[in-house]
Formats: sequence, structure tokens, C-alpha cells
Amino acid sequence: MAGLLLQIVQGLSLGAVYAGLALALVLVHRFNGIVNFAQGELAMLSAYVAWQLLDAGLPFWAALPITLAVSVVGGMLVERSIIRRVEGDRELAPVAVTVGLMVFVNAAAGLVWSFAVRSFPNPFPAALSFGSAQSGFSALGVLGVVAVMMLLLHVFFRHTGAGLLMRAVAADPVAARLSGVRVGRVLGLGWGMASAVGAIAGILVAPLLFLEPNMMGGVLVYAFAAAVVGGFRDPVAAVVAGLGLGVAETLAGTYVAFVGADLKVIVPLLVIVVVLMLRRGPAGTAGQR
Amino acid sequence: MTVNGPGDHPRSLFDPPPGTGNGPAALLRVHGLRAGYGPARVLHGVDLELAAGEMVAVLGPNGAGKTTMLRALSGLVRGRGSVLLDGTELLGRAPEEIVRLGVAHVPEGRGLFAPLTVEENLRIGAHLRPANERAEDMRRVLAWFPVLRAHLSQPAGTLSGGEQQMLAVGRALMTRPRLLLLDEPSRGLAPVATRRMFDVLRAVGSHDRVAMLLVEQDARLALEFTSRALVMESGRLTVGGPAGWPQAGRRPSLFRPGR
Ligand SMILES: Nc1ncnc2c1ncn2[C@@H]1O[C@H](COP(=O)(O)OP(=O)(O)OP(=O)(O)O)[C@@H](O)[C@H]1O
Ligand SMILES: [Mg+2]
Repeated sequence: MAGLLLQIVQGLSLGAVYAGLALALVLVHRFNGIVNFAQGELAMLSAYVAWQLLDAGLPFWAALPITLAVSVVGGMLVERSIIRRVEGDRELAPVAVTVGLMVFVNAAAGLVWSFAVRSFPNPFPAALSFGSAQSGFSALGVLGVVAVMMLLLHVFFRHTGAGLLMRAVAADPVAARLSGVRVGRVLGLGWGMASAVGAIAGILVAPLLFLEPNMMGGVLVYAFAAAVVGGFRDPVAAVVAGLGLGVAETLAGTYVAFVGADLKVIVPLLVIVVVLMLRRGPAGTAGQR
Repeated sequence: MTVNGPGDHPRSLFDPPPGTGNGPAALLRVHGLRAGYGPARVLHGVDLELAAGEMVAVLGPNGAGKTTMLRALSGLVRGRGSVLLDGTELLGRAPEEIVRLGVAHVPEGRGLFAPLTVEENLRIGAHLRPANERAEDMRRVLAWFPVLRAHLSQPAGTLSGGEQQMLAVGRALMTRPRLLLLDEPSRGLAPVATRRMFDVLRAVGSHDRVAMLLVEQDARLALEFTSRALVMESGRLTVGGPAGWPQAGRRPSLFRPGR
């Protein structure tokens, strides 16, 4: 019984990482109307930035805000320099560009940091741990960080003037411009915020998966499935689906004999297919705005 | 007041010659405005002058280019020619910058933020205003359109068509414009509500000296509330109006109904 509980907590913490990256996908899609295939690789890049800072001797809780700031600025630069050119395009150009960005960032990270696997320090106190409860504590830490991040996002969007203007742009960019909102800046800021949210997912998952350029590939598949459940629009649905996927994956890997560790990735793919079938047609993907 | 005082916008070849009109200096001067969509030309040279606080109706058949003209004035479509607002050239500026200069556009189809509440829609309209004046502006708008008060926390998309129209106009007024572009604001309004809306517009216009360009299908109604009416036909503003209406002069844009 305690074993099952631990499995669920671990599933939730893994799910919190999926939820975080899914939230980043939803943010970008809400503001730019683009499905960002490079979201996972940008998160990986952020994890390397954090690793570099930790390697230079900074404590984790100092490296985190710096990494987030770098991610926001980096995300805005990517949006301004590359994404802006294809933003109006509804169909293939944005997909091609973000897939290209994904491949490019992956290769560039390999060049800079090599494809060697590195260990990434776990920010949550091991001192509190005893026996099998250690993973329980770090799992709760991951859940806590993602929960705080979501709370901050909620407060920002619901209770600040800037958040209101961003929601206006998401609802109707033309009407927002007619109200004097500088939509270009909001689109950049949305991309930057998504990069920071993805960075948190990357930094939290790095200690579990080890740091390497291909680290986020699998996570992106799960985050994608979670975002599809929310139609790439609904942040709450995406987060709930991310958490559910984490739990389902962990439990299926442990308790369903034929799934095992290798077939776990079937879970998100099944979710994507089933959701899309229930939605009838491509409404769950970029076709919907 | 001289038309071309010191510090005015430098004149270009396309500007109207100085010294036309001996009335008050115009707030808006449009000269040779051409616009379209890709290769399709819609406006073929629109000339127009509007004084501060003046309310002018724009009539014309479907597809004539009325909406396109408002979109060119607010920066939503690219225009050529010259559009001077108080001496400042608007053409070439982005819509969000044109709003900041004091032009509010209530577009065809209202352009509300459907998932956002009525109050949020109004607050977005006011976001460029000084923070200490927003509450007072909100009170004013709610006094003009009291039906909105009961729906403040309701998503704008769930309002009735007429209520949405009032919200759209209310949001535009929250920006405290000098020039208000209204694209068929009476659409969806019951006759009584239409008259009330036009009463409000006329009162605001004369009290705050807001100039208004009112695109309207109901000619009789438009002529009742405005000082003059222009007719858009195939991309040009032309003389005259519906048959039988008195024409005051031969110059374009001088069609004044007897009131
Ligand atoms: N986005 C667009 N792309 C291409 N052509 C357009 C576009 N919008 C309008 N047009 C064309 O421009 C012309 C003028 O349209 P506009 O909307 O300005 O007319 P209007 O006078 O406002 O008509 P209505 O009274 O029906 O609203 C029409 O022939 C229309 O087909
Ligand atoms: Mg029209």
C-alpha cells in the first residue's frame, strides 16, 4: 500500500514535469498560434544554462532565477528573430520552423556540451530522507515547485494589468491592437514566459533523467499529449492531463506486466490518438484557434 | 487659426491646398486616400475633412468601401495618400500607435474580447489612460449604457447582440478619443436602443469635442443625428444622397439635410 502511494507521488511529480512543458506549449499556442516543437529543446538548453551556473559554484536557488531570466530573454529573442516571420502563416511554415529549431538546438547543444550524460544535482534536501522515502521527498519538491509556478502564472494572468492585456491579445489580436496594445511585445513576452515555464520543467527533470541533449525528447511526447487534451488552449486541462499521464505511466510501468519500462511511451501516444478521435477531426491541434 | 501654422506637419505635394474652408481648422484631413487588399483596389482617392466635435455620416451601398476607409484610417489596412490628424500623418503607423494619437475604431463585427468579462473589456479600453482617471471614465460609460452595469462580470461573448454593440462603443469611448470611427454601431440594436446610442454619441461628441465618422445603413436615421452626410460609391466619397433629399451645395462632403 505504501508502495502504491509512493508510486502515485512519483507519478505525480513526473506528471508535474509533463504538465509544465505542456503549459509552455499551451502558452505559445495561445499567443502565437504556433505549435512549438522546439519547446523541449529550449527547456534542455535552459537546463544546461543552470548546470553551467551550478558548475561555476552558484547555489541552486540562485542559479534558478538567473536561468529563468536568461530563458525569458532568450525566448523573446527567438520569437523576434525567427518566429515573427512565420507568425501569420496558419499551416506548414511554423511547423517547419519550430521542427528546424528543435533539430538545430539539439545539435548545437551536442556541439557545445557533447552528448555525454551528466549528473544534475537534485535541489531537494536528501537529508530529510530515510530509506525509500527519499524519492518521495524529491517528488513532493517537484510537485511543489510546479504548483508555485502555476499559482504565479494564475495570479499574473488574472490579477495584473499586464496579464489582462496578454489575455486580450490571446482572445483577439486585432481588437487588442485597436485598443492600443503593442501586440508584438506581448507575443514576444508570451514566448519568453513559455521558455521560462519550460525551463522549470527541464531543470526539474534533469536530476531524474540525467542531463544530455536528448533529455527532453521523451518528455516532449508526454507534454504534447497533455497539451492535445487541452486542445492546445486550455491550461488547466493540459496540467491535469500531464499529471494523469505521469501517474498512468508510472503505474503501468510497474503493475501492467506487458507494458514494462520499454512500452511506457505507448501511453501518451494512445492518449493523443484517442483524444483526436473523440474530437472528430483535427480540432485538437493547430487547426483550432 | 491658420491652417499651416508654425510647427505644423511639413506639407507634402498631396496635402490639400492651404486656406480651403473658412470654418474651424479641421481635426482630420484626408487627401487622395487609396487602399485595397492585395491587387484589389477598393478606395480610389478619398478626400475628407472633419472638424473637432463634428459628427458626419457615411452612407453607401454594400461593398462600396466604407469599412475599408475606416480600416485605412485606423491603420488596419495600408493606405496611400495623406491622412492628417491635427497635423500628424497617420498613414504608415501601426493601429496601436494610431489609437495612442486619439483615434478609436469600433469595427464592423464589434471586435470584443469574447471570453473576457464586460468589465475587463472596458478596462482594456482604458489602459492607456492615467490610472487615476479610469474609475471616473468607467462611471461615465456605465451611466451612458446602464444595461452593461448588470453584466459587468459576464463574458462579453454571452451578451445579447445589442448589449455587445453598446460595450464595443463604450470600450472605444474609454480611450477618450479625439476621433471616433463607428462602423454600423446600430447593427443589432432595437430602434429605441439605437436612438439612445446616437443620443449618447451626440452628447459625448459635443461635450468632449469628439469628431465622429459614422458608417450607417439607415440613411434617414443617420441624417437625423449628424450634421452632414457623405456617400461612398465605388471607392470614392461623392456628392449627394438618396433621391429627394435636399442638397446644400455642389462641393463634395457638403450635403446638408435641412434640419
Ligand atoms: N479582407 C479582404 N480581402 C479582399 N477583399 C476585401 C476584403 N475586405 C473587403 N474586401 C472587398 O473590398 C470591397 C469593399 O468592402 P468594404 O467592406 O469596405 O465595403 P462596405 O462599404 O463596408 O460594405 P458593407 O456596407 O457591406 O459593410 C468589397 O468589394 C469587398 O469584397
Ligand atoms: Mg462595411
